[in-house]
Amino acid sequence: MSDELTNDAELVSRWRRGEGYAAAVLLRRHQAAVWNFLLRQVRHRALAEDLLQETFLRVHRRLGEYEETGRFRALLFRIARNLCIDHYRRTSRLAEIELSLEPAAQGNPETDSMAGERVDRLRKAISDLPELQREVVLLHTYSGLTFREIAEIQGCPLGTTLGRMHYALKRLRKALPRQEWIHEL
Amino acid sequence: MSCDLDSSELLLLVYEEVSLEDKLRWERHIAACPACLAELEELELGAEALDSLPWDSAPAPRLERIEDLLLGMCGPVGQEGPSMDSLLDGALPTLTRSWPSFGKRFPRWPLALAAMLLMAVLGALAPWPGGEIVVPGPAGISAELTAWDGSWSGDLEEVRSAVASLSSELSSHRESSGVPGAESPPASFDWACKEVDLALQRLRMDLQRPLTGKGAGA
Repeated sequence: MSDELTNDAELVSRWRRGEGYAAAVLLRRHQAAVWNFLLRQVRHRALAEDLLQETFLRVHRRLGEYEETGRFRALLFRIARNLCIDHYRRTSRLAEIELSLEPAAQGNPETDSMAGERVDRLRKAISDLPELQREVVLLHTYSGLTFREIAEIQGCPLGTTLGRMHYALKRLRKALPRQEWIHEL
Repeated sequence: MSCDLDSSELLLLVYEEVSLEDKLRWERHIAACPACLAELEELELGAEALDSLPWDSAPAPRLERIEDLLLGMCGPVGQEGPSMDSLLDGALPTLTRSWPSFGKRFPRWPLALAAMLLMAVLGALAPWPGGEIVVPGPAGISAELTAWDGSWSGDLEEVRSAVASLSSELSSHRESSGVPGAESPPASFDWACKEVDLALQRLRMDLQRPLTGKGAGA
């Protein structure tokens, strides 16, 4: 509620003036989107925590580059994305790292078990996507970015981003039985 | 597909990231194009499956640590807490602007009193080594009176209670001040309440800093 009252540009402006609460509000506002992106990208909880922290600290250091007319989320996710790329370069490949996720919200155990298996298969299928396609899926699905924002972050035309998402959905559909697409969680 | 429409662009329709004009145009096309309709349905299935994936939350302890680091990087803050200008900057001017057209029906005095409450709370808590105000909702009226009648000792519990009372009073006022014929108060009134709430939240965050040493180099 109150978080919605002050837009990102205004909060960034206050952050640049040294008003700490503005940084905290922005952190709380965007942490979940960045966290879910990072967690699915690096597939390691502790590492994702470190990258989440580094993302916001780098944002602080790069506030001077931010233009008030610009989009804060684009800056935020560009930094998060670059951190992931740096990490990939250092480790070359992360496929061996097991994804350790907390269980979904509690409910009917049997239903949860079925839904949980399906979620796991879907997540696995996402993690097997080519890097740029996976990135579009994660940024759109988990981080709530629009395709135009993603195109800006990826530095490509909108059509390219849409094409990546389109191919990703086709791959995911092939990877999962049709009834799993249709079946509700 | 057998038509000229780029199937990738259907994603913009699926996720409603398209202008109303384009949406209507595409929907007209799809209604007459079985291939696009089939493609759209497939994409919607995929989108629904992805949208149903649960989110995780970043661990709270790490979030608090990041918040500490950010606050620390934002420069030293005196133990006396934020300035009144800083606290009210962006809140009350907006409130004033939100209200003129409702000036008669919705008097501004609750907002003025709420502002005075902020000053009173800030002034009373500034010397404190720490403490936290839990703000349950939009600010109200009676707590201001408590704070300004001279008998207030600055006890944190009293402040907490006062703010709760304030919230309750303004809620009642808001409910009784609806536009005749309308079931709820005008949006500007609700906005005004939220602005007061935001100002109090800022106060709360700033008051936490001396408590935990955030931003003070501790």
